[in-house]
Amino acid sequence: MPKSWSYLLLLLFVVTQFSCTVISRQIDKDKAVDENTFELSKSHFRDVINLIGPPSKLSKYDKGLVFLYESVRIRENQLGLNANYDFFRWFKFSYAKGTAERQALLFIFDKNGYLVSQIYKEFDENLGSGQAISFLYSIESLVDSSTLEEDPASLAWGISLLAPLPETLNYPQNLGTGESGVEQLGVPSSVGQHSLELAE
Amino acid sequence: MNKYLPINIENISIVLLIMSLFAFTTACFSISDQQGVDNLWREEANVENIEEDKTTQNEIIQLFGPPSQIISLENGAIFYYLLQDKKGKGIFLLLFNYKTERVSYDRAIFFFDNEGILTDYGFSVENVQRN
Repeated sequence: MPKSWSYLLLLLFVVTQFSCTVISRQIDKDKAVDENTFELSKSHFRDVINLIGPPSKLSKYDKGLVFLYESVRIRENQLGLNANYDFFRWFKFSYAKGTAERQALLFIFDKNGYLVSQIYKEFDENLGSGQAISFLYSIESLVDSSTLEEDPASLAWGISLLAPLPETLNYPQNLGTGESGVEQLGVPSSVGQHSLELAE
Repeated sequence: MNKYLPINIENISIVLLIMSLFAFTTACFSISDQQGVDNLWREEANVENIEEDKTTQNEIIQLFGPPSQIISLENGAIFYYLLQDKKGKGIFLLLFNYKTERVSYDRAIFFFDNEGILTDYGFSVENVQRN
């Protein structure tokens, strides 16, 4: 067999046996600001909005306001192995590992709109791993990052009408309405103010 | 035979085989999705007449339509407008597959006092092009 054919067969073997997949998702842009940009008791919320725009989430808080800016970059790496044998040749065995790079910027304003507290934080989150057997020609996420990818509450008002009864009864405490505070992405659905919603 | 370009049946077969392999086993895709209100605040004609301490809630609603969210405050109200833009693309090469998605937001926010008069307003730094 010519040498070039050997290389080709080797290439075919690698192509049909192994594959790697990268899935990435960027949600909103980072709004990093220097800690000296805004001064406590002096900066007004209009200064914040003029510089970095409206927040991802806002709510009334005590007699003032709270602004939360968030951005997330999710990255999932998958390694797939194809069993090139009989029926199994159409499926691949995949292992995935996911991470999230997160940024959160929080401002709290008093009843007159002046800044009383601010914090910016960058942190990484391990999204865990996942394994699956899937059809060879598919790209599916195997890591659960759904809590980081929730759409804003204002885009879900229609479907929220069909929420389970405990969730509906506790709507006044909902953290997406802007009336009861805010929460970061990724908070489990069975803690804090969600407890009464009896979510699984 | 040209020593720089060795053309023979064997090499042509290999090239054709590789090309057909990629032709039948590769794919690419692109997705685009928008949700929320129309970002009419990006039109100059709609914002040039907005004035703090003068423009009313009714005028803002007439200009931009119903807000995505209204938050009532002790001393007024907030109208929050939101447009979500999702764009994604991917390529499937068997050996290497790639899928990426970017979610961007275009927001506008208006603060009113108890009389319904505009006190403050602002727009996102990012601008989303309406489909």
